[in-house]
Amino acid sequence: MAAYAGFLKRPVSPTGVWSWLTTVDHKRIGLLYGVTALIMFFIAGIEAVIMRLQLSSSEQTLVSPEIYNQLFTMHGTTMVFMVIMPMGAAFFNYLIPLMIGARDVAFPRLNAFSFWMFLFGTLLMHASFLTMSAPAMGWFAYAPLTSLEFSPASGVDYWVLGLQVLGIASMAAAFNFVVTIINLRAPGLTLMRMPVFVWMTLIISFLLIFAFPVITIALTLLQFDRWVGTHFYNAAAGADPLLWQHLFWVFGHPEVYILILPAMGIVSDILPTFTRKPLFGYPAVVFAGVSIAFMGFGVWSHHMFTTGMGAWANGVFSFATMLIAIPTGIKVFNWLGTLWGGAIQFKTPLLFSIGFISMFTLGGLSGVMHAVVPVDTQQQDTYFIVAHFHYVLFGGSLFGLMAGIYYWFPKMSGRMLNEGIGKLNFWLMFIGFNMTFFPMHIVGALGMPRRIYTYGADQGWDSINMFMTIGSLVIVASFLAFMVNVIRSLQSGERAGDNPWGAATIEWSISSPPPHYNFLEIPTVTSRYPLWEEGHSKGAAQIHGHDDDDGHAVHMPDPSYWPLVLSAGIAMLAGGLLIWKWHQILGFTVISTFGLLALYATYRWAFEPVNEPNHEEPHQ
Amino acid sequence: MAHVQSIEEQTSTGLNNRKLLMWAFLGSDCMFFGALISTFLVYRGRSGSSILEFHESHDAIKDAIGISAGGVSLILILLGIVAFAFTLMAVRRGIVKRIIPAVLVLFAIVVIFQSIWIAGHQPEFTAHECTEMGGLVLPGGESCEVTLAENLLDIPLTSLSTFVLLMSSLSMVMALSALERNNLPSFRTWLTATCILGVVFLGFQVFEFNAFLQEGLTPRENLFGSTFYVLTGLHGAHVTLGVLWLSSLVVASFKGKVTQKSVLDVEIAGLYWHFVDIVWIVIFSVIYLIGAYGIG
Amino acid sequence: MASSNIHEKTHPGPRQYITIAVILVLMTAIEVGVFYLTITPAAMTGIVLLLALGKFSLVVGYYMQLRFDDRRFLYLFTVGFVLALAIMIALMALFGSLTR
Repeated sequence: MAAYAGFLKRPVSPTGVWSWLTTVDHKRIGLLYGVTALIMFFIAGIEAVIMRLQLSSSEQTLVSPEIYNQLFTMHGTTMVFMVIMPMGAAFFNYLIPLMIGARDVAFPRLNAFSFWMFLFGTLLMHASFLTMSAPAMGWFAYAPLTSLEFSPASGVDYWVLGLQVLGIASMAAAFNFVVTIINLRAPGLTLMRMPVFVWMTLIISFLLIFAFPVITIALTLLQFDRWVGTHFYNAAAGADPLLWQHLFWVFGHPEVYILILPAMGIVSDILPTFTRKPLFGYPAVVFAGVSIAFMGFGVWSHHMFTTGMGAWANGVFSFATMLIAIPTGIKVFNWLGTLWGGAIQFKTPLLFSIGFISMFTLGGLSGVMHAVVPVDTQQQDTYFIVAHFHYVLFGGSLFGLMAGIYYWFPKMSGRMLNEGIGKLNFWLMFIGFNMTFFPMHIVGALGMPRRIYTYGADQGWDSINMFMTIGSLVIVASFLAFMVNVIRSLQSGERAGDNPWGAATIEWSISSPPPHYNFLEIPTVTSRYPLWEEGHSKGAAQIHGHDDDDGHAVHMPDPSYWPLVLSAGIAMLAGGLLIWKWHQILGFTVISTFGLLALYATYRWAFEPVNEPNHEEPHQ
Repeated sequence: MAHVQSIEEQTSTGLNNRKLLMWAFLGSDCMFFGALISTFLVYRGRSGSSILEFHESHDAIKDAIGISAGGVSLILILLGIVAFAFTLMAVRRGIVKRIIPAVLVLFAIVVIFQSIWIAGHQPEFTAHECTEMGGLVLPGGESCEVTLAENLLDIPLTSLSTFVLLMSSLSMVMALSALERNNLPSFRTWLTATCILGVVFLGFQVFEFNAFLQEGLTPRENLFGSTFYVLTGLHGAHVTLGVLWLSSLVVASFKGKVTQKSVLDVEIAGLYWHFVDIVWIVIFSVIYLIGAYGIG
Repeated sequence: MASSNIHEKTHPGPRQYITIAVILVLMTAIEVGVFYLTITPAAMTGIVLLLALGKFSLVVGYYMQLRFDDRRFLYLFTVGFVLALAIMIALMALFGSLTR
């Protein structure tokens, strides 16, 4: 099919907005994910700060209870689905092909499609703010609160549709990475030589493809209940609202491993660089990751110990949850073993990594406490739980991601981040984080429930809450430092060479930033730490991607606008479903129109060749 | 599919990227249908009862349609088979000018057939039917309290549709085989047959949904309605997407875009189609046969 | 193409496909036949499930050619299938519908 078919020619220019909208380059897509995730992080962070301000002392009236409910719902939903996951995706996208010696992912257009679906899903969910009824039922949206009877406003509908769209994005990306990691590895790169980050990405991709369909169904059933009047979660018709909880958590528990494993992978690859020694017990770390993934499907009801499932169910899930602490513990010991006896360089990535290990361990300990059913009965729905998951998600995932940002920023931008400001960033974050979340264990044990917009002056929780709110402001300061660091660096930071950290894996063998084709010649990999091998410098000429010819000889897939068109079509279809609820005929028209557009875009995409014949090679 | 320059030249495992993608997708789709079937099974037997009014068919027109439906149906079925054969012959000979009218005629026959049955299908609901369904005639003799559930399932009809879908899997695999042997006319014929059989299956589903709706079982009526329509409806949606995919391959093959070099693409489409069939095997066995056993 | 999974010569041909189709139809006929017998629900469930499993395996093994293809496709599919089955059984146990 010629490049001139259709209204628009196939894009060829490497610069300009259109080139970004039609890019299929994994590095650009990674950056798009990263920037979007950072913006969403600020939004969710503001929501958190407002909550903390409201809770800073008893009987405050900064926000109403209704607004407060929307705040914690959107904070949780945004952080999980629109910050941590896409930040991970940013790293997968940018780094996986570089780490496995590939030129791009297996399905570049599908990759672009994933990003656009993510963006549209994010916009769809946040469009609810415009209707003044953002979702307010908690990020896990338990039935029957989500029924039309109890939540007549459209917030729930935005949430459901937004999540379905985000789900398509995540699943498409997961399929892409499964195939990429299995099939596109450089010669010699066996599975057991891959960087741990690549392993973790493979594992979470499997988790995604097997777990997400379950929440897709849970959401679909909720949609039918709300829009068609079915009875999936309607107790009056004989249904069991607990079905939602089960379906949600069958997905939800693997989801939290999806949130933590990337950070674990990042840290596992950073530690060797800053200790100048290989990861201690690489095979154990890998197998621990695999077993966490398997076992992760068998523990979901530990979120439901207080729902009356009965002693057998409680016992089985309690036991399984305790078991899953074992592989996690194995990883922690292996990280410690890597640090032990190493020539440690306390650079910012390492500081965040150590912060990750320590904070995640604390979070894991409170998690094991929750695994004990009688203890959980007291802790459930208190701030003790809030403390636990913030320790693992913030102290764990976010610290790990920050380590990754500081580590790979030079590779992506060609500039070094400032070490001094980086350390300030770390310490402010470490202190602020602990100030905010450690006391939550205490106040939770004292009985402060979750999801309350205020509390009585006679509870005695005032001073602790004030302390925590101040801590949250320290966190804000840490992110200001981070932004200052990033902006200064991009403008005038010290130039980074190919391998400023002296790291061992092959993404450090090419220029910073890499050329659009990644590797001039696909390297042959012979160990886990190729760049540390004896005689590496001899092989450098083969591995180095430096090229005087601007890569003309290398064919990369051409950009395409079909991923954008298809995802816009699907997003508009989702919007049409929202309209249908309000105005049936208009809604039906929108749904049909964009449904047909989506089908047409799929057909055209399917028959579009990866490269147009006889074209100008685009440079990006 | 025309790949001028495929990135997928050498893969680490020797497995094709797109085929690997499809198998990963099918594994994932197992979880999708697993969750749906779980929902159905978990809610089985928990539907409350419904109250249905008795009615006798007084509508003369519907009566007339109902009486003639039998005879006309027979004629239509025969015509349908002829149209089916004619379509396939036209496809085999590659006479595009004949194919489109043939498909349209076939489609029209299916629609007319459906319409007659739906229009003429009048669940005459009397006390007799009430007790047959295991219901209770309420005092007053005007209505019946019955649980609208598995007693509505029509096993003979669904066995027929199951047979149709199984045959479509056969025709799919015959199409692939023909393409492997570079027999394009045969390939197109078998693939067209697959599409038509898929549409016939969907026709059965549409008929069944309509019959249930007329008998009072709506998605809102009770848990069985909710779970049944959503489960079989989503399966039907999968079938529809499959039909669209396969028919676009037929069309593309007439444009010369699908040749022996595209065997992998057809195989991958076939994998999806067979998966949809095996999901139906599970649904038919579990929801229909086991579900309705001993009930009504 | 070095990478595309060209089947080994041993994979079935048209005649075997038709044979399998006949077997599938027979198995379906038996399933439906069992429906009209008067036996215990447990026995009926067992027979039908076995037959369904058989049909499933035939289609997956021969029509989808998992028997003749690279083992890794089988692993990929099996993980999804077994996981779905396990969760289905777990949910039924949790809701008390295993013993109805």
